Amino acid sequence: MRNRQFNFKQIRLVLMCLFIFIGILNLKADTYKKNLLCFNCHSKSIIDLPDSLGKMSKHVMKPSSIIDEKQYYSSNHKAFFCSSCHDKQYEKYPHARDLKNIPFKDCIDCHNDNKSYIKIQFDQINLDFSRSVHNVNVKKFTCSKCHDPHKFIRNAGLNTDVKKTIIYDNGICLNCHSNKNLYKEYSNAPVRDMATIHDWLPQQKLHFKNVRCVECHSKQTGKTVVAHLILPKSKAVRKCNECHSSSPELLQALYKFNSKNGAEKNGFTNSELLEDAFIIGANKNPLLNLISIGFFALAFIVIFFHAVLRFFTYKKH
Amino acid sequence: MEKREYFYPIWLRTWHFFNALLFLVLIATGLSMQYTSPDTALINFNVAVWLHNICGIALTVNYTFFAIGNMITGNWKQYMPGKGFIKNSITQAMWYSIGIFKNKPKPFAINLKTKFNPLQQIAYAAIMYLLLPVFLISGWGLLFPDILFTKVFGLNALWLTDVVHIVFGFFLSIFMFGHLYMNTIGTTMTSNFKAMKSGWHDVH
Repeated sequence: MRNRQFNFKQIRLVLMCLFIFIGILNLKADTYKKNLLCFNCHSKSIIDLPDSLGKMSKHVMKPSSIIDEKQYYSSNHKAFFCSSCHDKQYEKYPHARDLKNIPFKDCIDCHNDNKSYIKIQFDQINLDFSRSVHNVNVKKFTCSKCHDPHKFIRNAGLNTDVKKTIIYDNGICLNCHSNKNLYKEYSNAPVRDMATIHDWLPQQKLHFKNVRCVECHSKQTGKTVVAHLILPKSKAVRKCNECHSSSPELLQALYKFNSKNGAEKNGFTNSELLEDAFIIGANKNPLLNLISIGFFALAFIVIFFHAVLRFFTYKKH
Repeated sequence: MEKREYFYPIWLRTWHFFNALLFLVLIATGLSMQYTSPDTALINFNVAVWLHNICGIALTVNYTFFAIGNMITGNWKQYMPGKGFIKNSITQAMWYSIGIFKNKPKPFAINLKTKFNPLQQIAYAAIMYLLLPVFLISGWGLLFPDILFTKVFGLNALWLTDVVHIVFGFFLSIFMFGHLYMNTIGTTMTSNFKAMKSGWHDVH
């Protein structure tokens, strides 16, 4: 009898898991099926579109309207229907012309006041962004201009491979700042070559490979994962000491998740930085420092006493 | 009876002058970079990096000049320790630590064929043929980090190169201060410095 009861519990558990699994699969399948209607056109560069008389003709899709399906289903938003952010009226095809006037949902619409995102501090991010050059100098600049929700994968704070975070985050900046066509959508100024405008920076290649643009071009105001107060060019960090010192700024930014307050490993200070780089001024070895000071002191003492003895014995003779 | 010999030809003195000058700048800028902070930088970091790089390149050029000069003139032989150099080095060390205070004569006379005493030979040979080349190579590695391996025996190669550069730089700095003091041990306190200026050395 007992055995039967036990078996029944087991079966109940298995069935529950099965239902949940089928539910997830169904949800996924449902998302995929529903979104496919959108991707049928929005993953192509040329589409067939009916004109006012209903005659089909070829149309070129705006580059910003083409979504990479594969990338979307690898992104953090993969579980969402397109209509979760875009107006439900977009589900009708062909879309009504006046739909363009209806704004999309902004990131903050979902992410703000959401308890799951307390750690990310969207309030602070929003405040910082409102004061950043992107918001002050560019009209209608939104989160999605940098964080394309169709591709977005949260990296900072989760990815332990700092190099991957650097490549991903810098890619966001370079997407506009080294793309002539995209840049002119936001600025009248010509896009400038990154290497040329940073020609003052020693070991430019090494810096580009090992730090993110935001390390020098933004200000960390709160405990946000990544600083969003992007500074004007004139206020960007140019003092090398801000990273090349005993208390490097990098520990408060790029390496903040690895940081253990200047922890020592293999005898080196700020050893978090040693994993991927060696930063002159930031990584010192206290033991080596002590030995070198000891050697210098010893050398000076020996020289001093030798000189004094020479002076006195020279007089005697 | 003292006489003067032309010990240091112009090429050697020129090399020596630039070597000393570059070393002083490299020590100052190197220390400034290593112990830098936003409030107490000995030299502005940008300037220190720039000067350190320029002087490092110049030191390599100067070393190449020295190596070529050494080969052409046969000066390299001066750095080759002769027979019984360990025993002779001990004798020389004993004179520096005891004999000198008793006003005993120097154990090894110097002449045009042997310009250095046994201890100097060993020290200069180690400096010029071991420490300085490694120091220069590691410096070039730091100047062009892309040419370095990423990892050496599982360690960050950049870190390893930097440690080698700093440790060797430290020993060379110690040598430089010792060298300055030892050169006061001449016929007079300043005779060796004057010899390096004019090329003419007092010999007994």
